[in-house]
Amino acid sequence: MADRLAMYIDASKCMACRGCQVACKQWNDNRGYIPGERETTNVGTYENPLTLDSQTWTRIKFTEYDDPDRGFQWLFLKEGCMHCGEAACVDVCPTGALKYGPNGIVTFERELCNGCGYCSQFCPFGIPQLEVLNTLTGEAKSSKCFFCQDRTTNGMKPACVKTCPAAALDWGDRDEMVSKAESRVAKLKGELGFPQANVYGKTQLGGLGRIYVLTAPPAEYGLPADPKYPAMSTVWQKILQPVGQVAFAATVVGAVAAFFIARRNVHMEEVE
Amino acid sequence: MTVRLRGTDSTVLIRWIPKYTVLERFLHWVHTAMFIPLALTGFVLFAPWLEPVAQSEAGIHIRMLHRIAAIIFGGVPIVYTILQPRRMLMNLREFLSFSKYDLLWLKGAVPYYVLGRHEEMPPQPRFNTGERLTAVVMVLGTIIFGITGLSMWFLKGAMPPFLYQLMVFFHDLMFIITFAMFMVHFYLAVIHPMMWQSLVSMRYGVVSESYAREHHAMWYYGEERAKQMWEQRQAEGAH
Amino acid sequence: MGNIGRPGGGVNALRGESNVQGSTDMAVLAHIIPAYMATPSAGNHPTLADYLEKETPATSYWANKPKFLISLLKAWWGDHATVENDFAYDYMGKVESAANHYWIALFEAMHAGNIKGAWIMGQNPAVGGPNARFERQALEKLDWMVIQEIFQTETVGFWQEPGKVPSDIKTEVFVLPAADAMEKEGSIVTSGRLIQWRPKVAEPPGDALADHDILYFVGRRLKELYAAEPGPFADPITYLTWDYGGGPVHPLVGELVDIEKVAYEINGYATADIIDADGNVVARSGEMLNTFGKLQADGTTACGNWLYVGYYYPMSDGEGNTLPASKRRGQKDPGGLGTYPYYAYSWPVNRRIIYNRCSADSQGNSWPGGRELIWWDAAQGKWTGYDVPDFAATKAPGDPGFNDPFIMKTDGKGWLFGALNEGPFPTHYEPVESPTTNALYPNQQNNPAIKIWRTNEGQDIGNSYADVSEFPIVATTYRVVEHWQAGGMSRWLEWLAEAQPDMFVEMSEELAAEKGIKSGDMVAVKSARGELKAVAIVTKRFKPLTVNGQTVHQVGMPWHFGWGGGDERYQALARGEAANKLTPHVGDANTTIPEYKAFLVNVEKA
Repeated sequence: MADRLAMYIDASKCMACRGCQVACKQWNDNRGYIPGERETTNVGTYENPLTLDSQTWTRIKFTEYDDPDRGFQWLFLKEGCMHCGEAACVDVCPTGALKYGPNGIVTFERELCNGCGYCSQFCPFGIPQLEVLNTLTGEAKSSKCFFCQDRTTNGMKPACVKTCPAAALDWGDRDEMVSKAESRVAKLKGELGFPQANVYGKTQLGGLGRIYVLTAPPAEYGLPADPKYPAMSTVWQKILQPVGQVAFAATVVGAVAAFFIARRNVHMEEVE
Repeated sequence: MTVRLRGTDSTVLIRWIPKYTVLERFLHWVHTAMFIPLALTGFVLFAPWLEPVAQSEAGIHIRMLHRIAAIIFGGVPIVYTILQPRRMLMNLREFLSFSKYDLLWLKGAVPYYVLGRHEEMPPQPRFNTGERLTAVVMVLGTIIFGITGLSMWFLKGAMPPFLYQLMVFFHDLMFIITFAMFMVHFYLAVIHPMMWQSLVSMRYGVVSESYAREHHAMWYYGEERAKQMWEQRQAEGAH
Repeated sequence: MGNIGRPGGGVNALRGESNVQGSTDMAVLAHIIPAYMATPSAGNHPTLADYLEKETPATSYWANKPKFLISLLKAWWGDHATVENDFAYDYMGKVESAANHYWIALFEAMHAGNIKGAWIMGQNPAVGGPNARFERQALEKLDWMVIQEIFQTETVGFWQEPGKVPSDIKTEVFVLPAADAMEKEGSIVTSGRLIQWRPKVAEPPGDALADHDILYFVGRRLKELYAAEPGPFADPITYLTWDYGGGPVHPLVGELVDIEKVAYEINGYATADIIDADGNVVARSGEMLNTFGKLQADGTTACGNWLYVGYYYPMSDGEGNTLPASKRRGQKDPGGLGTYPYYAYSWPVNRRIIYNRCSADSQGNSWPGGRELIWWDAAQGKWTGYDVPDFAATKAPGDPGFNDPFIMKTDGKGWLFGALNEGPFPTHYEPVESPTTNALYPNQQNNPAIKIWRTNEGQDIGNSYADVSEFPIVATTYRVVEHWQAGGMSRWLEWLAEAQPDMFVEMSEELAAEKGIKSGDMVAVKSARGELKAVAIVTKRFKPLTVNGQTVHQVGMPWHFGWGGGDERYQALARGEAANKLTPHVGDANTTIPEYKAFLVNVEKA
């Protein structure tokens, strides 16, 4: 869409300061380390938390990579909802908590979520995190980055973009972010000597809302090289659901029709 | 039992043949009573136009209700197997035997049930084709609902996402099939004027002798005899 | 080279913390008093005349030092600083000559029992000091300690460190809860000498007070006590200028500071009407000064820091507002050179780029290339342009010294090296603990001018040094972005503690394989001075070194962590032991900065 906005993320400038991770928590009133409730330890890496969760909607992934051209590289990736152009999570959400919002943002309204967890299983990137509050009753809530809707719908940039001290993040018209990424990749490949530099997010899944500049193949960052819209979502939401509803309706109509016809035709004195 | 025909002095003698035990009837009704909320709560999650109902606190409660009903629904066959294992096995064997007579029954079903034509329906065992189909669908459904449902409930995140996606798909597919089947079953067993004895049988556990003779000849006469009678009638009717 | 004094060029000191420039300007250092004048020493400067004679060079702008010192004395003792009493020079504290008062020496003196009391403001020696076990022991020797802090750090509770017996420690500890940077008003100074005034944006919690409010209270109480019972030589306290009140009244400490009064004094003001030789009014009595050029050596000016003159003087922000200079936030950048002259106040006199005389050639024409900053304007008879010239404004081509831009140097020239205790050129020495010999000077292993302490050498807690056979691994310490300094501010914050929860030690895959260590294992790191436990991070980012033909392993640790156990109140959220348990009391030749970054250890799986 012409007015689709997107986030530009330049992994070549990121220095893994985690300012984005903290700014997101600060803006959204999310929590970190709480003694007795939400504790964590270092398991042998700078990376923490180790996955997105109900209080962590963006984080930095650290990967050590032996680049064949450049030798050892420490890769940093800002992980979070990709805001897909074709978002399976929106299609499978039964409450409408996940929706396509203004400017192509995949919005999430936590109050509407009923905790079914479909989104967490259909996302090709495994982004939405279902926090199960009670396994037995199924009480749960999902969570994910929603591009700071309260900021971006008021002409501001998301909190993470605003805070990034390395200017690795930007926010704006999607086409502009894509061409910014392409120029940067051209420069990385050209004068800066990163032959594997690539843009990730331009065309996948209807175009992602995150446009990444990567210096190594996506798989090295833990990103799926060729993410696809999940076939099961198509089969389920686009085929089974409409067919099923037609089948219900047909059965009901059929039964009602059969009743009225049968009533006329059936002679009760012959009935045993 | 002796029944006086209304408005007359005539009586008829009705002999009743037991078909269902008390437990079977009770569990059937429990199963039914759970199926309806399961279907309704499931439908709320299934249908896009019911999004507003599926939201927020209401949605959380709907999902909880679904699980409570699911436990009872899934518990029914387990309780049955524990308390009346031999009948369960007997029924299962009967449910699963199909023959060419079932094809004939299907062919004659619409003329018979819709148009009231008492054309010759082929002889049927204790459970006719429709009853057996319903049973198979419901048993299969209960099993598949159980596996897929329990996976969706407890194994989310513990299985690869694609497997979970399959679970959801089959859960919903079985919903469509069993609900369609349920509507047919409900119509024929409860609504259809001709089939008033179906409800009697599931309420009181018995069918009348004449009903059994007509609808379940293989059960009443025995399989060989019923088949013989059928062949004979077919031969006579042919010319 | 060749880019000094030009926009985008050098000479710049890249300071490490947000107000370390301010702290050195205001002389939070042993060897200087405000604005980089030498601390008077009893041996070298017994009188004012001695000081001025020894410390004032004949040439360079420092020739004005008497104006700076006397204005400072006038600020501190006001009407009691007169020509007759050498402007109260005798009231000023003096150090013993030739004594080392830097950090390590301080703690060595404390350990020897020569320091009775310590007043610590926002510092955490138990974590940040080298040979931390020794320094923690030194704290036990104090009779008393006052500590102003925002959180309960390892120094606040030093006597409760796991393993210590509190009843054996006789130090009387006074904890004064302090306000943090956002909870008080004041100024900070950046690497670019930019003084920015910052408002108070939050109330301190409970009874916490700003450092200046605490000090103001203590000063008032001292004066009251001396007024009640005069002691020998109470005059320096009794007559000290201390009229900074006017703030709200606080239930515990009474009248709080009106920070504007402090700013007024630091900025400098005239104590009498100042009229120049031509009869022009330079400044009226009581008026704030707007340039250090107006400072006098006769007591008619008072100034807390000669570099800061003008920082609180009202100035235009380029957008129609006039306000104290360091409060300005003007966005205009005439010239487009990034100097932003309307934003805050660069000392001195809002000169944004120092030594900017270098941006013009020997005729006074700006070097071309799109960064023209200042140039000689013959028509106006002065230097002009987009910055305040760091030069005599009317010095014309042909005048003596026209091509001497480095006005703080006695010869006006740039120096490749200064007067240091070692040099003049960089060379190579091994650290005191080294796995190898000095390849450059086989007969001189270490820098001969460094200071090495050996107190209690060989004891469990002492200044011991490693044998490479016992401690063959090279260690260094560094920082992580998630934690700050000794961790007092950052280890208590839940978002930061989550991002970086534990003390760790990083090592190569090769070393890990040798020791059977996997990433995430607890390991013990030991030096001649102490031992700590930490989580191992095994990484390709560390590689074994080959030094003089031998394989030498290296490990690295952040130094932000504290005790790693013990009383919950002092634990913070991010946990672990202090890397400085391992570092030595070795000080560099010029500044006594400890040898924190190169020492020997051994590492074993814990």
